[in-house]
Amino acid sequence: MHIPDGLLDTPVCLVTGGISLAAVGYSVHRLKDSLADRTVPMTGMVAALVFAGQMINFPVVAGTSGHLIGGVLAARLLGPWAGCLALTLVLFVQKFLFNDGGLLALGPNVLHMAVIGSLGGYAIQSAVARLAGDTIRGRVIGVVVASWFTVMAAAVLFSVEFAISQATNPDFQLGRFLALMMLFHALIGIGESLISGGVIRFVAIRRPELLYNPPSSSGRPWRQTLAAGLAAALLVALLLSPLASSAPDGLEAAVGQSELPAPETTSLSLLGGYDQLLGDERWETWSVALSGLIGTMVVFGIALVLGRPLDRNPIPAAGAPRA
Amino acid sequence: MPDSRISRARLVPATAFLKLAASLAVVLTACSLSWDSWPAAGALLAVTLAAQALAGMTLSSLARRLALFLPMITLVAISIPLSQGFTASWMQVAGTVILRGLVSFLAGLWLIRVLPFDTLVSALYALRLPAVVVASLAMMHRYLFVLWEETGRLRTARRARCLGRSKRITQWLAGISMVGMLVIRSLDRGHRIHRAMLARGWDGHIRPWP
Amino acid sequence: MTSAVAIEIRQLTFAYSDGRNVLHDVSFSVSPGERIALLGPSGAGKSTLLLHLNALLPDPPPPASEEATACVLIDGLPATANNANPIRRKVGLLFQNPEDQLFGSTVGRDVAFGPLNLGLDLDEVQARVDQSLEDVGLEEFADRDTVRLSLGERKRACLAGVLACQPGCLALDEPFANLDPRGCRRLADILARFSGTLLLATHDLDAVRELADRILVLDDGRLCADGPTTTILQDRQLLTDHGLVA
Repeated sequence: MHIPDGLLDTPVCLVTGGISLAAVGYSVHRLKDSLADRTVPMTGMVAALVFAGQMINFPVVAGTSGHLIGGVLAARLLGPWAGCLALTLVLFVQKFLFNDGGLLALGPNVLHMAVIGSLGGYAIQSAVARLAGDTIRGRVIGVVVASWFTVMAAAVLFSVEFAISQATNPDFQLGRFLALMMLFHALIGIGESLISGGVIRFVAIRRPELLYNPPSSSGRPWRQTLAAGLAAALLVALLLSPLASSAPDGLEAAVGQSELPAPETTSLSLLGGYDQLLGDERWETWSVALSGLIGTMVVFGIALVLGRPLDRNPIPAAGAPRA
Repeated sequence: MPDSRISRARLVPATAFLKLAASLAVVLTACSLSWDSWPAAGALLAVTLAAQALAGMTLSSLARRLALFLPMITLVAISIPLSQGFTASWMQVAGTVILRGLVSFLAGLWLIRVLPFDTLVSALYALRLPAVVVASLAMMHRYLFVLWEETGRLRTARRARCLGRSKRITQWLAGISMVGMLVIRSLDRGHRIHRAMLARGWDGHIRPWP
Repeated sequence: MTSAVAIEIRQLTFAYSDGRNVLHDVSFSVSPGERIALLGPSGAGKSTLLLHLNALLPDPPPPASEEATACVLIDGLPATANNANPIRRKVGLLFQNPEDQLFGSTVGRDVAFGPLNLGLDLDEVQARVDQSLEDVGLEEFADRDTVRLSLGERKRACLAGVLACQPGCLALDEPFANLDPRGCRRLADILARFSGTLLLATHDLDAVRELADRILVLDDGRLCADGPTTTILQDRQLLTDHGLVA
């Protein structure tokens, strides 16, 4: 699911790249707070394991197969900051060792998989886990839910990025593109939920102490984390919107003068696209609604099934690993 | 040893930066191409193909890699007219995507041949990439092959145990348990490596060695 | 070369977090320069004991306030959190699996890890790397990728990494495991030349005979015997009882 070069416009790649750089930079900064001596071996190892894990095939239909992305998984094992760094390393190695994925596209790819996938994924799963009780069962459910949502969020963001890239093209219909993307990714999200949830359940049954336990000293209430996540998402939208909107509006005025060339036609502002969505052909609305419905039901279902026979007991304290 | 920017830069050959810059320049140019600028696109394509030859890439090797890449980029490109309609203009957009993607792919192929991974990382370190990122990258790189092999062994073992073709659900369960085993083994290994690092005086402070 | 190290273990008891008791009331003393073999069947607790010598167990190490009740003393230093680094400098630990200990990208880079952490300047580090590689017979290997080494080469590279820190004591966990006879010979020769305290956990009775003056027998977490090499190795009953000979 790597975005290749050439699909998204260069300004979009650069802006998303800047956001990714800031987010990953912040993650690296936050890693200095935690046990600094564990970071290098554990992050390196989880990055290597996500890379290797992405090679295991899960057959879908007629010869095609899917595979794990691993953002939420990494965050569940290492915490948000190291998880984000681990996924970034995976993307870096995939590009510079195996030529997999674009160069400029590293910007959006890191944003989707490392930032949304791991950081966003961690925020969602810790919120869900706390709602479901801070038990092993709660964590598995958290992983399942977070996996689906991060895949969908990445799909929506990608559609927006693509829409901005096609801003000069008056024929572009965001609604149709969004519908197709969301339906497609709703299914991919199911796969990611199943695999991530299944793996975490597998690990949690045998070695629960291997899952990341946030240090008790951090004490940040999950509401704050969720609020921070939402604020970050809004910031991303804010930064991308000058690229989208041609006519100066309140949003653009707030951000200030955009130096990027304004698209010629009255193109899509973020909110404008949704007007189109509702006005256009029926199948688009149905697609989006269907993907949402699929997601909610199946994710619930998966969460119930994977969470069922698990311990309702609290997480055991991390003990010394075996010699 | 003082960790100054000058001492970082001195350890990396200037050619490394040039190669990085060249690759980036080609990609930036490619991504600014549109359907109308096909002469420029053709020229760029020719340049990147020639670069492959200079870097010592054999025709068969190149063909093999293109055979994997082209279907993928075509699929991605086709999704655009799929949602927007198969008109001439959208097909042109799809064509542009394939062209840009191809040039970028070739540029990347060239870069990884002429710039060894370690040198690339050193170059980025000289450009102020944080030491913790470099060290984690090095650790990942060190154990990548080990984990790759281990994954391969897990798959072989699983295949050896499966008698005949198994149902999809069995394959999914098998895949999940493989990833799960990989997670447990890797985390345990990570802890053991961490211990080995502590045993030789590691305190989290990265000290660069040229 | 730091001077040979003395070790004292006092009523050491240890259990993992899952409740498994691994060491029961183990006590012994090691004088500087002594060469000791730690014998015992698998699961006896040898590895666990060795980890204690580097303050790696318990994890985390006890706080400085518990110095008086410390069970492990290296050169008189109680193994508490504040003494962890000096202790790790004194005792060089060679782990059972060289894959876990050889984490540098090249051999030279890996061997340099220890000296760099000691805060030495680059010239001194280079000198130590060169010397250690020479000591283990891997002079040409400084730029070799660590992925492309045979088992014997890996073990020697790990040993070089430990020797580069110039410890006063070498504690080795099954160093001869899976080595071919030539590899064992090479390793034994290197260890014979080491002048500090030596603590060798192994199954290899030939190596014990050659390298150790004294044997400690560990079984099921308890110290069952402690005596000179010749005496213990002649006690056929003892060896059979604790699974050291078939």
